Amino acid sequence: MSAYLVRRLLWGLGLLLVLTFVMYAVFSIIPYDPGRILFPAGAPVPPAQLQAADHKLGVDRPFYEQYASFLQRLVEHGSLGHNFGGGTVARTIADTGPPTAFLIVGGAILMLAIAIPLGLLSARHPNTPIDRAILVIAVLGIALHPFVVGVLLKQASSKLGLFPTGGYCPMHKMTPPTTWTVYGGEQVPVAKLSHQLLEEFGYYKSPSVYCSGAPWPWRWFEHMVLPWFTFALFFLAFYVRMIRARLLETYNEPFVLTARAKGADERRVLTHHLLRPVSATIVTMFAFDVGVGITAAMYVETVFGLPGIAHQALTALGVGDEPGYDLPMMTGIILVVATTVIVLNILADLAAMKLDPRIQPA
Amino acid sequence: MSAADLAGGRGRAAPGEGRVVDNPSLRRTVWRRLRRDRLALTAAVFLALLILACFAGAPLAARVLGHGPTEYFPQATNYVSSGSFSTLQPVGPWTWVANHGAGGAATKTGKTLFILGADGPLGHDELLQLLYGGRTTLEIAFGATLFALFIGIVLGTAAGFFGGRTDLFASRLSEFVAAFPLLLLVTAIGWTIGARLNGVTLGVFPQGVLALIVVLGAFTWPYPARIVRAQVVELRQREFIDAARVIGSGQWRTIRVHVLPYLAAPLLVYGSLIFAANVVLEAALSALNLGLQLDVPDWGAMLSQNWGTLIFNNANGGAATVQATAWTQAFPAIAILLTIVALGLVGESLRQAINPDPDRR
Repeated sequence: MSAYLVRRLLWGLGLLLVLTFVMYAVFSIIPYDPGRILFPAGAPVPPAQLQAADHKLGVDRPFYEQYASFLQRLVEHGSLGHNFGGGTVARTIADTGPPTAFLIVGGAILMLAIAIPLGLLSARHPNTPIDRAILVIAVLGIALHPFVVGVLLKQASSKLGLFPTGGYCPMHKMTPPTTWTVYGGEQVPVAKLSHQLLEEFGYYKSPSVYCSGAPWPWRWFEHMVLPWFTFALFFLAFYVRMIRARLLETYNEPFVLTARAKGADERRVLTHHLLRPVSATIVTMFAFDVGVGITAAMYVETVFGLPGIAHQALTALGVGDEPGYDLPMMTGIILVVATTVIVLNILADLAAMKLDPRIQPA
Repeated sequence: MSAADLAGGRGRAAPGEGRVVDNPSLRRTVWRRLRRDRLALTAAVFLALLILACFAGAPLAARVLGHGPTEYFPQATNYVSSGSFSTLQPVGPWTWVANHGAGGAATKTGKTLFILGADGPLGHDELLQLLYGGRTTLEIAFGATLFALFIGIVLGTAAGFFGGRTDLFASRLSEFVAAFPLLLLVTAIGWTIGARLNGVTLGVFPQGVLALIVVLGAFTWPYPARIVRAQVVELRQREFIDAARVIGSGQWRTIRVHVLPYLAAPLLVYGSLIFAANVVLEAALSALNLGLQLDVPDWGAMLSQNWGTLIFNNANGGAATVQATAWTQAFPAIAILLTIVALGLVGESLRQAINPDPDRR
């Protein structure tokens, strides 16, 4: 077992090295000048200044040298360095990671809470109208584009006044700022500004303002409800079908017959014998899907304006703003996401072996 | 019904198997079961009509109406202004529009009919966009799904049947693909060889369709591969596989005749789900320099036009726009919805009909 674990971890490490190397190699071949980031958009920049800017960012060296210094920095200082904008990559990831993690974990829990009963019901009545109806319900979730689900949920929610339709409130308590930046970067006490001016300067759109007030865990929760549903609906069909298929397979296993013969009632057969191998499959499938989940999170975060890591990746790729490719930022995000996926996969395989002893390490 | 019947039903058999080849029982059984399923038959007829409408009907409709899907008609929009917010609002369904064509060049005269109205500020014809867009979307989603299923079946069968090193290799490869961020690769391709890749059309597809098929397929295959592998591992322990081996069937023959027919059933429904996922992903990728250009209509793009795309997100700010022109998005949304639900129903019905292992409990 420990040899297996070491092998998996080494493979994962190799995978991360390949991934980050590809990041740097790709960066070196795209026709794009990172030095421009330091200048106002659209303004003409003299070549000498652009060269100086490239030098300052360290992107005038060959890409393998840049990659070597990235690795050195990572190993020696455990640092992901600075992004092209000047902030530290680790800080941005620490800020944007939690919303995405909450979105995926909460969305997965919600999805399973819907998928397991539906899958059970489906397998109880295979090839009946009930089975068919459940298939259609599950397929509806993916047949409606996340954008459509998101917008419909937002419309319904704002009509009924249920949940906020956008933005994010962190778990910790926030206090509104007493001063606000106005034109020219001047800091003015909020009390001196009129309601209209505050609106114009985006004061009310700041999370520290709209998140203060109600008790903070509730604020966080109510901002996550609609994104969770949007996320859960996208994956629902895959899991309902998988649970149904696995259950039907397991019903005919000899060990289920044995359990019944020994007098176990339906409930005990379900919880002790049927659900164990099924949950092993769910666990491995979930770990595998986290990578896809990040891509789905991009949609959900975009629709609901969640400041998450998936949306940060789009920003670092220059999508929606200036075309760009913030190499340190992207490498940091990819490193974190890939590490999560790899570690989760290893954990899931271990858990699956515990849940279903017939599964052997590959 | 045995697996040999299934293989025979596909008309692939070696000489000396005449009885199996001519055995129509499988086809007849499947058809008998399918015929009973009214809902799935309706769905199948719908899909057939949809394909007909999108591939044959689209050029026909353009010819009859006298304008194309990507011609823009400034006359098909109305300037609407309320407070600080102003926009060009598309005209509603069944509107006659002056047939000036692009840029007001009065080459044509008279009026032309917009059956479903216009699609947005540019004033494209919504119906033609829908028909031509359906063509693009169906091509991409079907192509990418088939591609993913192909890789998935090859690698999954090899991993499940041979086990050992082959299994290890396939498992690690799919782990690599799962951990590899799709978006990065797409951006990289979009920045570098996107233009050239998009230009590969094989003379049949619109620009960028083939590029999307390859990229989507290359990243969604681990899904079918995993399902196939699990199925094959389970099949390998069945008696009839041992029996085949004992009577001297080679590995390839065993796979072809005894294993592959079993894979069709589980893959039918998952295939339709992967198809659905591809429709969702396709629109995102087109926003990243790879894939469809702006003048190629497709459902994903129509859907996100006013609700905001990953690039230009006005889903938060443009509440007024959403209200006023929601119907322009309703058409593609409903089209995608019906297609995927119909496909799911047909897939499930077909799965039940051909499943050599009937669901029992």
